[in-house]
Amino acid sequence: MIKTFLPNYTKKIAFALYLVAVVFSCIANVDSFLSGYHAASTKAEYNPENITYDSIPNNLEKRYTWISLAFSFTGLLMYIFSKEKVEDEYMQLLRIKALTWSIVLTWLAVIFTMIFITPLEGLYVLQFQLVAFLGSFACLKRFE
Amino acid sequence: MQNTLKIQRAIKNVTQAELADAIGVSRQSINTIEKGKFVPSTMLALKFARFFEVPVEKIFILDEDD
Repeated sequence: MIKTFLPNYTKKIAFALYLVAVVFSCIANVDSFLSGYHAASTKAEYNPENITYDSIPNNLEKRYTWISLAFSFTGLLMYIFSKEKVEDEYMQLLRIKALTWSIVLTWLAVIFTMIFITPLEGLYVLQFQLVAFLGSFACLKRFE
Repeated sequence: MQNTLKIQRAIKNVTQAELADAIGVSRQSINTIEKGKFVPSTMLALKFARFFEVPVEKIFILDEDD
């Protein structure tokens, strides 16, 4: 059984925290985005060593990334541990099913990225699992 | 396991939402129980029996292969 400690209204706070995380993540990655965008728009071969954008200092980029991760984890965990409007044993069953799905999806994502892109790093694997859990729970609630 | 929840509801003329409110579960739970997708716990089964004023065996019936 997965305990839900927080009241239902904390879901809204959790969502707001996650939005803050998305904003910080966008700011932290704006230079990489500009480099990629420039390379794409000029059809030039992307080479980060030749093209440098420095709208945000490097140390701030790292700080914003960490702030984004902190907000993201807080928001996601808060959402997971928030009660539904009507909390009953069926919701608990759906949570257990969602947890199983999230493990499967995370394994698939890790294997996929390892083979085809670059492997997911530790914290991002955990973050993906939390998102996969919430996605699976929402789908099960809607379609089962 | 089969159940006669829908019939009991019809006899007492209550909607899924009204039953859910009375028992303290979500309407979705009632729906999945009626469809046989979800088997409730003993406690929930007893709550149904108390609400419909019938024995539990009249609402939940074991199949021969159960």
